[in-house]
Amino acid sequence: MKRAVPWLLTFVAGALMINDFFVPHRTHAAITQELQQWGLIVVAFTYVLGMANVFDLHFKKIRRGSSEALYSIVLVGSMLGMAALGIFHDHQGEHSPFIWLYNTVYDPLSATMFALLAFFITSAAYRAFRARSTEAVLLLSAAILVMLGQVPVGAAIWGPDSFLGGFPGLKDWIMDVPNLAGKRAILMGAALGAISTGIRVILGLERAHLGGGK
Amino acid sequence: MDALQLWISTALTLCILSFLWKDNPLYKLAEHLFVGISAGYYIALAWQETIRPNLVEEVARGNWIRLGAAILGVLMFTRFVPKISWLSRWPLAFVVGMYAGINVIAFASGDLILQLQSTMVDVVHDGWTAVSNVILVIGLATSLIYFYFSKEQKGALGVVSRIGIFFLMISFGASFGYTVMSRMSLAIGRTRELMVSPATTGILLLAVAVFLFVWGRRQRSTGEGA
Amino acid sequence: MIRGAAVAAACSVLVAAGSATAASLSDVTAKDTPNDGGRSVTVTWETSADTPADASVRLERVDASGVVTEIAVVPASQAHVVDGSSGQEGPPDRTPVSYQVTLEDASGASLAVVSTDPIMALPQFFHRGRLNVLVMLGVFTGLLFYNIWRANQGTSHFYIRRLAPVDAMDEAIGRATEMGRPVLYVPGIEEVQDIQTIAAMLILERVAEKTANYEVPLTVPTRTPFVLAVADEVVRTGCTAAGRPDAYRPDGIRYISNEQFAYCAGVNGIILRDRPAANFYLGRFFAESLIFAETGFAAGSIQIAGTAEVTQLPFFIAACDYTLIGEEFFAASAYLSRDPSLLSTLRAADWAKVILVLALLTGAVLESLGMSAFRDWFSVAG
Repeated sequence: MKRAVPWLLTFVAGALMINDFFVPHRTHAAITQELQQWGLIVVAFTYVLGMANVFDLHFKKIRRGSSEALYSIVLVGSMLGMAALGIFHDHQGEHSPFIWLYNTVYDPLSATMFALLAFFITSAAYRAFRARSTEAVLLLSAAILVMLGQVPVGAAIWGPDSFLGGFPGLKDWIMDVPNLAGKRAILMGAALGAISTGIRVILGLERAHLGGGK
Repeated sequence: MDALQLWISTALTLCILSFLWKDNPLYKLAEHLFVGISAGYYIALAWQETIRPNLVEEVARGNWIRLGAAILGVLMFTRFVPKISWLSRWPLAFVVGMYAGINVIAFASGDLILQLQSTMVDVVHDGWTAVSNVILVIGLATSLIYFYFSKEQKGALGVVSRIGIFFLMISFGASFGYTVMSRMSLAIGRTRELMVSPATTGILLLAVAVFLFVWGRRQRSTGEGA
Repeated sequence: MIRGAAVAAACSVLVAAGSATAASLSDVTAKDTPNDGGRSVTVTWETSADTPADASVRLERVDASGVVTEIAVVPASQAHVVDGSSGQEGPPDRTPVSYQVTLEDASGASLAVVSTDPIMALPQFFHRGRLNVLVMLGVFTGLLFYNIWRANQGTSHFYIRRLAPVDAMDEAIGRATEMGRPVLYVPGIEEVQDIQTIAAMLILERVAEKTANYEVPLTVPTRTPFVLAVADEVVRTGCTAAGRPDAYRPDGIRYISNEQFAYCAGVNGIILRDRPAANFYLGRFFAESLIFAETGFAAGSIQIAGTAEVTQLPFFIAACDYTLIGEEFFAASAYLSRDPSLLSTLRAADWAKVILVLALLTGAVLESLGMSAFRDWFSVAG
């Protein structure tokens, strides 16, 4: 029961989903669609585990009364408040407190974290520029050429009407030829890896999520 | 956006940006608030957009089969009871198996076959395009060989995989260069948002700067004292 | 006897009274729609050259008891209608129905009427348009089974080339032990729906085994609560496999938030405040990859990344000490396990790669010679 049932569930669920692609029969499709709904519902149930995990971690900090306690109170309070507003109150109305908080806190903070990337990409580029190897030189050359092909100053130095289409033409060629070749190789290699991993899981060769064992 | 919203969102934005200097109480506060609000948001969505319509309303409509999902969901809670926590592996096994199967098919019918087919191109006719196509085919073949694991990459295999890694590096560089501009435009966009009300931003920026200055000095003196 | 699926129904032409032109319908057929779940019939027709451009076709279904149901009115040039296409109730399975196809001019006057012989809709058990995927998957699975069988026989020795990033994991965990600092394992930001997250969980088991052996705290922040549950189970399994079930620390496995950048802020907080000696970023990442990697670099951690997400690989390569690229990332769990039957699957994937390269070269040559049949075989029916 402890080992065989989980393995059987993994195998049957996986095999049914693979079959679904090849078997157009309506009854089969109805079963797999129902099971996918089950999957979504099981995943949604785990939010209770998520909340319990957050409580467990932050109540310990609060109880310890450490300097971090205030932040834990803010986190737990805002999580409970937002969840309660969304569950027991209007969660879609434009003037609901739920959406107000979304627009005031969630949305701008998400955009700001995203914007931090501009600074990080600069420091990463700086470090990458100091690298010394053939591979690094190729990476940097491609990066610089593509950047020059994208900005107006690049076209001003070597315009699209010049030999090879200038920087914009060269950028397009790099994107469409060597870049595409590398990208497709990664996608195809990863596809083989993904299929192999999926089959290993379905066959029970990898069973870490089932409590291990053979 | 009302005035209160503007003040709060601008203040929180500046708190997050203060991270660029170093970790500080304002960043910590904004971070914890952001994590709390967003986690609460998704908890509410899990109820409103999954459990309620797909389980509660379906069962109320007489779709008793859905109770199977509820049973599996409830089994997840056995993790709270160590003696029977092994039962929680059932829903885990079901979900992991299901998505493993979906992925096997998605990759087999998508990335694998379609990428291969798109690269079966004419390598003879049409001058410059044919040259590019030859490079594309060689690039893909050699880069794929780079991922060959069960032989030492020496001799001919070593040469081929080295050519492959060159293509991969050009690809990474191109991707890097392509992304730089979009990241810059994000930062510009966020700065524009802050400039909707320069007075508000100015006052709050000053407040944040004063706080960080005082906090920084106190940190230093505590550090020196210790 | 009505044989349904395979039989194209013969048609009988009725008199179109009062038509001003000689426009007519020909080759009117009703066939069971192929490769579908049932309850669907495809009706096709051709119109004569003198059919007015604005002419339309009215399609009606006639059941065995003579009840007529209008299915569609479409431009005559469309040449086909699927009765029972998405969102529309088609004919019941295994029940004979016939179709009446009426060609009408712009004013609605009938120009020609054709009735088909009875036809039955049937569900199919195999999608013929996807045979190529089945063949490819079958070949790959065959290679996997063959190599696993050989590994289980113990007759075959597997050489697997060195994966420096995976070897560096040991070094990184050792460094964490010396420094008395934790190891951070970020399993990407996708739900378990994504195979990269599943792969990340498999590697996590091996990492948990090692950290348990070295007695180093392991922190695993997760973006979704389901991944939290899987990670918790996997870490527990890893500790047990190391013979150290007491090393399992539930506090280390944390749910942060489903929001991409809130999760990012939370992980950043862990990097800045817990100062882990080693950061492993293994899974599917998007824009946040660079924020993690740069913050980790600033904090002085050893960083090892692995992903199959093409757009994020350059950032990990620029900012991390080691990076597992694409398939290397999927191979890592087998590599770490050193289990012959798992390693054998890597060899199966290698053989598949050789077949793919040969297919690619053959396809390119044949395409250049103007023979597209080989290339077309790889088209997947939607």
